[in-house]
Amino acid sequence: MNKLSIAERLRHRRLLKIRNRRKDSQKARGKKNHAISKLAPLVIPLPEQFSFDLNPARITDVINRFNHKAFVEKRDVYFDFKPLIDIGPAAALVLAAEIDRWRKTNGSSGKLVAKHLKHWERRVLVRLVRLGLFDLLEVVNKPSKSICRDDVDKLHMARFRTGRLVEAQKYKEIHDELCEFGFDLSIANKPLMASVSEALTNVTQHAYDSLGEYRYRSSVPFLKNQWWMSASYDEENGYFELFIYDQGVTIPASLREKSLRQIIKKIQGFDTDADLIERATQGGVSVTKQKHRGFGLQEMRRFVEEDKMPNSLLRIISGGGILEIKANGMAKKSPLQPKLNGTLLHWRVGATK
Amino acid sequence: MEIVDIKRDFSEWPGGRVESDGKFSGERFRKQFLVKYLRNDQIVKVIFDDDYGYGSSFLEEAFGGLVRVEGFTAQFVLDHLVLDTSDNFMKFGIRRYITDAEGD
Repeated sequence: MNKLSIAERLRHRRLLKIRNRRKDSQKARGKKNHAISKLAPLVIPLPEQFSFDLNPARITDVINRFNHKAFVEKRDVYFDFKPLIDIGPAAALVLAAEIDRWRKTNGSSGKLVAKHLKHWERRVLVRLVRLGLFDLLEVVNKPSKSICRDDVDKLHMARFRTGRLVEAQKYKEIHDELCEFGFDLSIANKPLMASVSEALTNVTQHAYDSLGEYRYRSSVPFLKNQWWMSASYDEENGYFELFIYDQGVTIPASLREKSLRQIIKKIQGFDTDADLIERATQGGVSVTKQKHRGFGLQEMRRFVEEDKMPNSLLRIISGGGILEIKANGMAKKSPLQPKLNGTLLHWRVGATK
Repeated sequence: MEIVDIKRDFSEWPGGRVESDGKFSGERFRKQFLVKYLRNDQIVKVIFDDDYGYGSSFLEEAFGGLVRVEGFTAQFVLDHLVLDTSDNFMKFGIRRYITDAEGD
């Protein structure tokens, strides 16, 4: 065997040192990875009642917790649907939109799987199948539609629609889908269509503008100009409901000026989020400050107040405020804490058989 | 007189303000139909689909935009447009968008 020269021996020793150092750092990294993988996926149980009519704060609490864990803490997160006994169509839409964003922005890895379907409340499962939740989210093991065959639910749901442009025809599709249950919106159809057109224009024009300015948003990705829409027909109580949701900057955040006067007003309790939503429905208030804009929400309000849509209600949930407008012109404002990081428009219109 | 039937000639689903909002925006309708006729000093009759709900952004951009963007005077636009609809409130709204656009 040839003897190594001094220079070669030194080189060999140096290489050995480097190799050992690499091994040590790999070991340390391995340990760290192991520690991360040891964190069990976080399970967020859905409450028994998931409805904006009953408890909007419970919904925003669950959604915000989900977004924080998934996007800020970058944890694996699952919703547990088993505790859920009842789900409203608006709440289902918001939940679907949040999961949709999560999967589209790679918050989730791979295809989604619905776990323990056998243990889900049947009524809830049927509603979610009818709403097309499993199709929207491209769930691998989606339940068969035959599950809806013997369904006696008097609350009929239209499948979720989503898009990034002003597509008023999506309203028509939803309307026609529910028409098979034999209701008639009569004169309400036209103002509702105009309202949808305006709502979608607001999303594409303003909702996702300047999102980067908001700290929370910077950690939660967004799907530019994306909206989600659904509707339901309550056969028992005779009304049609339509919902449009976006994950944009919210109405209060887009209107709130960051002047000292505004900050003082907020501290004093004036200019709450609900106040700002109401101001947006009073006309001529636009984030662009241009005179020819900002009439969409005013028109939606007018349709309700002037009874263009009989027995109607318009509810706007945006940021930390809720505004409800009824046909008699009554406006009810209430705070929402935790905030909804988006805007949900909800119309309820009388529908006759 | 030139006749533009929105449903027949443009879209069954007009909506949105500017072209980035969608294919059938108010801006596109204005450019495709209204501007060319008005530039030629022609009178245009616009037939609205009375079963359809037009959003205010579409209407403002299509008609108010003639003054605000294209530079016609409000009076010229009012003199050259015939609005064919049974919806008087919409008719009133469109006229208001045109006159208000002058001060914008």
